[in-house]
Amino acid sequence: MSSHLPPIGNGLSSAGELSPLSQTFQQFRRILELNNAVIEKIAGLERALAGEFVFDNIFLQRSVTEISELVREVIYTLNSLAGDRFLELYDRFEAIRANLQDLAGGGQGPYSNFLVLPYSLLNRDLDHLAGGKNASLGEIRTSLALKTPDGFAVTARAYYLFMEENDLFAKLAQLRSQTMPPARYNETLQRLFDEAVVPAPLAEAITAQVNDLLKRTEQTTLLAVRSSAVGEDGERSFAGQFFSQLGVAPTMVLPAYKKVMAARFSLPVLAYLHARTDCREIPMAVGVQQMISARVSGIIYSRDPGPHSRDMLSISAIAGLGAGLAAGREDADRYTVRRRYPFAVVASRIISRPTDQPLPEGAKPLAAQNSGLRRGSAVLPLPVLRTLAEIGLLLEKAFEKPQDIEWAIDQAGQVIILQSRPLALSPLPPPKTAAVAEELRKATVLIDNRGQIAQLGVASGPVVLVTPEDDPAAFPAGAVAVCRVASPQLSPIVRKAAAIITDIGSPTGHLATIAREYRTPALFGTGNASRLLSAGLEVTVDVEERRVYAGIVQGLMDMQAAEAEPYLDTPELRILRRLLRWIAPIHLLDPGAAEFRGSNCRTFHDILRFCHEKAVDALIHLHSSTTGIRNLASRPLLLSVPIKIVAIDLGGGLPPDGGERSVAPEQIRSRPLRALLQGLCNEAVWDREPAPFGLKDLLSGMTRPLTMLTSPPEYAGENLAIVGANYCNLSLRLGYHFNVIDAYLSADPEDNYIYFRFVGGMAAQEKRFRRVTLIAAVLESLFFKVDCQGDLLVAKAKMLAPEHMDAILARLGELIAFTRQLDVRLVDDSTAALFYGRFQAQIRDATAGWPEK
Amino acid sequence: MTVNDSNRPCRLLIIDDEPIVGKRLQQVFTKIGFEVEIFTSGPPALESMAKHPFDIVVTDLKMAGMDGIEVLARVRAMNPEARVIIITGYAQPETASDAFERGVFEFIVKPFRLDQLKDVIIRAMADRELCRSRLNQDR
Repeated sequence: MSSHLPPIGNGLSSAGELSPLSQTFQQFRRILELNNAVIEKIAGLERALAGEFVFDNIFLQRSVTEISELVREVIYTLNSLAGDRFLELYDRFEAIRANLQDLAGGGQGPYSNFLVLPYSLLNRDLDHLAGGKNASLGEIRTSLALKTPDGFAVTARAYYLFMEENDLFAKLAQLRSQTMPPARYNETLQRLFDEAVVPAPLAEAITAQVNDLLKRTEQTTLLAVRSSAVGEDGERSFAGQFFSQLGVAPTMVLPAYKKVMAARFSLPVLAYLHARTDCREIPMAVGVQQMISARVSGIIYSRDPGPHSRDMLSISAIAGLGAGLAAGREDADRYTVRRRYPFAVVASRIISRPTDQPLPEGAKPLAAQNSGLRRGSAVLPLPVLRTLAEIGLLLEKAFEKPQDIEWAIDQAGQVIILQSRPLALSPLPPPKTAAVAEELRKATVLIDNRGQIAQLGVASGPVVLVTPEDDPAAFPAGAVAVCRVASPQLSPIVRKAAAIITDIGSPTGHLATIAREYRTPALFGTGNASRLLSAGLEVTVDVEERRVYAGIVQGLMDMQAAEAEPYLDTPELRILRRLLRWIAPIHLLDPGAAEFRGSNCRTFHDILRFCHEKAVDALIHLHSSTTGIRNLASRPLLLSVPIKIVAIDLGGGLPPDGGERSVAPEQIRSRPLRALLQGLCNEAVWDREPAPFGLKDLLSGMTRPLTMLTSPPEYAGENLAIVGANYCNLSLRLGYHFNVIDAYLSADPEDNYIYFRFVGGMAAQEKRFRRVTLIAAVLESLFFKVDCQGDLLVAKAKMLAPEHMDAILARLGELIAFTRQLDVRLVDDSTAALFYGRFQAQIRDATAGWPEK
Repeated sequence: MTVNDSNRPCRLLIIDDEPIVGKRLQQVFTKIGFEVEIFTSGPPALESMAKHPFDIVVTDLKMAGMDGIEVLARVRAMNPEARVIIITGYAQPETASDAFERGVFEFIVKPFRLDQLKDVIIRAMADRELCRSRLNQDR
C-alpha cells in the first residue's frame, strides 16, 4: 500500500535549514496511518462476524493478506524510526501470520499438532481437536463466565498417534471381520487395549498436564477421565454410548485413558455408529478433569421435552454426585419450571430417601416413615432452582439449541457445569412460510431499519430499560435490555438478556464483542430505542431486519428454532472467529508493565499497540535525544492556561524567527494548531482548583511511571507540537492522560483528517473505562469514528470541509482540557455523565445544519 | 407475502458453494414470503428448476464444475423470464461485462449488505412483471 499522506511542508524549518526531523517524522505519520488502516480492516472483519454483510472465504483470505502486509509495514517503519531496536517483532509477526494463513485456508490452526490442550485454551471452535464435550466446557469457562471442572483435553491427534503406534486400526479391522460371540469380542478388545502402550511423547504430555492440574487445583486428589469424541454432541448424539471413568487416582490416568479408548470400539457403540463407519472417523478425544466433590448434582433440560411444555424447562437433582442419574439408574427430585422470569415452579416431585442417607446442608430432615424412608425433602432451595434455570437459558442461547446440562453444586456452594450438549429433541417442523409472512405483515413494527447489527438473531421478551449503574443481579434473565449507550459495564446484563438494543454504540465496540460471545442478539445505535420502547412491553427483536415488533411474533421464533444448524456455526464463521482470535484482542494493555515487550505480542493488535506506543515514545523524546534535532529551534508557545507546549516548524507553521523565540497564539500560522488551541485555551473549561486525590486512585496509578505521581500534572512529561501550514501533530501529557492529535487541514476536504488518541487517566480502572465510553460518545457526535480497547481510545474524522474541521478541532481542544479537569478532580460518575451530556448538547447545537454523517 | 402476478409466492433459487451464503439468504428471504431453495452446486439446482421453475436465480460465479456463467446460460435457455443475479468474490470488469452480454440482471460483489441484494431482487421482480404485462398487451 502506498502512502496517502498529504505533504506537510517542504522539509525545511522556518529558519530555512533542511530538517533532519522531516524524514523521521514522516515515518511516525506513516505508522499512524497504517495503524488506522489496520484498525479499519479489523473493524471490517468484526462487522462481518456481527452479520452486517454477506461474505465468503475469498474475503477472509484477502483480508488476512491485506492486514498482514500492513502490520509488516508498521514493524518495518517502527524499526527504521527507532534504529532497529524492535527486531523481535518480526518473529512474532511471522508466527501469527503463518497461523492466520493456515486458518484462512481451512487448516486446523496452530494447535493441530498438540497432543494435549488445557481447558484454558479451549473454545467452541476447537471441537475438531478436543471433541465436543471438551470444546463446550472450554467455551463455558472462558467465554460464558460459568464454572466448570478444571482440566485438559487429550486431543484427536493423540488418538491417532496412540492407535497408529499400536497398529490398532488394523488389529480392530481384523477383529471385526471375524464372527464371534460378544463376550469373546469384548475380551479380545480389552486385551488389545490393555497390551497397547501409550506412546512416550503422549504419556509425558499427559503426565505433565496432570501435574499442572494438581498444582492449579490444590484440593484435587481424584480425577475424572471422560470421553469427548469429535462429532459427539454434534450431528449425532452419543449420549451414554461412550465410557467415562470417575474417581481416577492421578497415577492411574494412562490406564483409564486406554479404557476410554477401548470403549470407543465396544459393540453397542459400533452398532450405534453403524458398521459402515470407518474407525478412523469420529476420533476419540478425552477430557481429564478434577473430580468435583458434589453436595448436589443433576441435569437441566433447558426445554422440557414433553409435547405440550415448550415454555417449561426441567431440572432434576440428587444428593451427592449422581453419576447414575444421567444413565437413568437413579431416581431424583424433578422440577418443571417456567422458562420466563421469575421462573415459577409449576410442578415438583420430591422423592423419599432412606433415613440413613445424609441430606445436603440446608435441607430439612422430615419425619421417617414406617418404610424406613424419609418423607420428601427437596435437595434444592428455590433460589438455586432459579439460578439453574437462568443457566439453562444462558447455555441454550450461547449454543443456539436447547441444552442437556449436567451440573453439580460443590462443597463451597458454587454451581459447576460438568457438561452441556444439545438436547436430543425431535426437530420442530418449520412453520409455513406464508403463515410467517402473514403474521409479520400484521405485526406492529415499533422500530424499523434503524441501528447496526452487532449480533444476529431473533429474540422476544419484556423490555427492561437499563443503565450501566444498574445491579445486574436485579435484571430479569430472558428480558430484552434497552439502554442509551453500549457501555462495557453492561456486560453482565448482556449475559442474562434475551437481546439488547441501544441508542448509541457500534458493532465494533467492546459490548458488541461481549454480545457475540454470549450470542445475545444485539442491535446497536438505533438512536432512540430507549424512548420508543417502554418498560414492560413485550417485544420481538429481529436483528437481521433491524426491526422490533410489538408482542411475541411466534412464527419468527419458531423459524429460528427450526434451523437445523445455527448460522453462527457455518464453516466460514468458524474460520472468521478463529482468525479474529489471532488478530483482534489486545493483551498488552499497560505500557508501564514489565510484560509490555515485543516478544509478548500474541495478536496483530498487540503488535500494533506496541508499535504505536514505541513510535510515540520515540517522537516525544526526539528533540531531546537526537543530535540533529536538539539543535533545531523548538519554540515555546505563550499560552494563557497552565500547559507548556514547544513547537517545531516543518515549514509555514510558525512566524519567522526574528530573534523572539516564543510564539503567541495569534502569531501561529498552522491552521489546525490555531483551531485546537482555541478550544484548549478556552478559559471556561479550566478550573484552577487543586485536584482532590483519593488513596484508591493513587494505588491504581502505582503501576504508572512515578514521575506522573510526583510532578504536578501540568508539567508531567513533555508537550511537543510539530507543525506545518496545514498540519499539526501534538503530543500532550495533560493531567494524567496522554493524548496525541494528528491533523491535516487544507482547503481540500479530500485530504483533511483528524486523528485523536487518548490513553490512561489516573482513576480506578472501572472509572477509566467509563470515562472512555463517555468520551467516545462525545467524539461520535463530533463526526469521529471511534475504536476503544480498554482505556485506549483511537478516533478519526476525515474528509470534512475546512470550516467544519476548525470547529471540530476547537471542540476537541475543549474536550481534552475538560477531561483533564474531570479526571483529576474525580467527580462522581453521574456528574461526569451529566457534564458530557451537556457537552454533547452544545455540540449538537454547534453542528446543526451540517451535512449528514 | 411477496407474490407475483399470478398470486403465488415468488420462488428464489440460490446457488453458492459456500454454505454461509445460502444459509443467510434463505433466512432473510423466507421471512418476507419467498419460497427459497438453496444448492451448493449448479447441476442439482438446475434439475430442481426443470421440475418447478424459479422467478429469480442468485448464483455464485466461481464454483467447481459448473460456474455461474454456465448457470446463467442454462437458466436463460430453460426459462427466459427468470432473472439471474450473479454474486462473486472476484470482481473483474471483463467477467461482469461478459455476464451482462449473456443477459445477467445484476452483478454483485461480495462482501455485500443484504439490503443491497434485497433491492436488486425487488427490482428484478418488478422488471419481470413489467416485461410480462408488456407481452400481454402486445398479444
